[in-house]
Amino acid sequence: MNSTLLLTRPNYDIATNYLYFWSDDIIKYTYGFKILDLRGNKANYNDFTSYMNKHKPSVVVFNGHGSDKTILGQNGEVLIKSDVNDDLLRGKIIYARCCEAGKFLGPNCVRKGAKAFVGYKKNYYLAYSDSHISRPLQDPVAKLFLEPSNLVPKSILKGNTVKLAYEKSQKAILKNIHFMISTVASDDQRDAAPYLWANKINQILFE
Amino acid sequence: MKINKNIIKMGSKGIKEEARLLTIERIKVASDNLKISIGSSEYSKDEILKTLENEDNDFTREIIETQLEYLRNMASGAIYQELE
Repeated sequence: MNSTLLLTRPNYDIATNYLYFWSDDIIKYTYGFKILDLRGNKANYNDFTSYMNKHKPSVVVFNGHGSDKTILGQNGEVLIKSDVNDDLLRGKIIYARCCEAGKFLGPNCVRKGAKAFVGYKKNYYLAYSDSHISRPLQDPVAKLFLEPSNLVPKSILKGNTVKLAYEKSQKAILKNIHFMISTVASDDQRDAAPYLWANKINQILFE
Repeated sequence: MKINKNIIKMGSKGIKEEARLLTIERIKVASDNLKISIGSSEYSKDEILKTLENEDNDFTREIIETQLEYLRNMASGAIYQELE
C-alpha cells in the first residue's frame, strides 16, 4: 500500500478555522506516511485533482463543509462530487469531517471501489466557546469535539484498521460525553453534550 | 384496553409543540458563551432561541430532534450503559 495521506483543510470561516488548526494534531506524528497537506488556498479543485492523480495517496482526509453529494474546499469550491469525479477515491481510505457526506457520497464511493469511508450522515456539529474563538487550540469545548474525531485518521496512520479507528473514535466521543455530564465540566461543556451525542450517532463507517 | 383520549386529541401537532417548548426551555438555561457551528452557519444561544420561538423550518426541527434524541438516550440509560 502506498503510504501517503492527503489532507485538505480550507480556512475561510469560523468552523473551517477550527478544523484547520486542529488538523495539526492529525499529522503531528506521521508513522512513516508521506503527508500531502492542502491547506487554505491550496485546498482547491485543481490542486486537489492534480495531487490525487500524481501521488495516488492511500488515505484521504477531508475537512470543511459538505453535503450528501459533495465535499468542499477553500471558499466552498467543490473538490469531490458524487458520480462526477468520485472515481478519484477508488481504492482509498477516506475520512470526511464534514456534513452529510456519509448519507450518499460515502456509501456510493465504497460501492464504486473505495476501500473504506468514515463520515457523518447528517450535519457535523462543532460547539465552541465564544471567548476562545481567536485561540481555537485552547478552546475547552471544541477540544471535546475535535480530539475524538481526529482519532479516526490518527489511528489509521498508526496502522490500525479503519474499523478499529472508527471504534476508537466512537469510544472517545462517549468518554468525552461522560466528562461533559459530570460535575467537573463547565457550563459550556455540559450544554454542548447533545451536539456531541448527535455526532456519535451520525458518524458512520462503510467498507 | 383504555385509550387516553387526550393524547389522541393532542395528536402529533401537540407533541411537536411540547417538544418545541421543551427545547426552548433547555436552550434558555444554556450558557451564553456556547456557540454552535452547523453546516456553514454559526449560532449563538440567542439566535437559536429567536429562531425556535418564531420559525418552523429545517434548522428548528434539527435542533429539537437533537435535544430530544439526547434526552431519550439519557432517559433510556443508553448514554450511561455504553460508558460502562
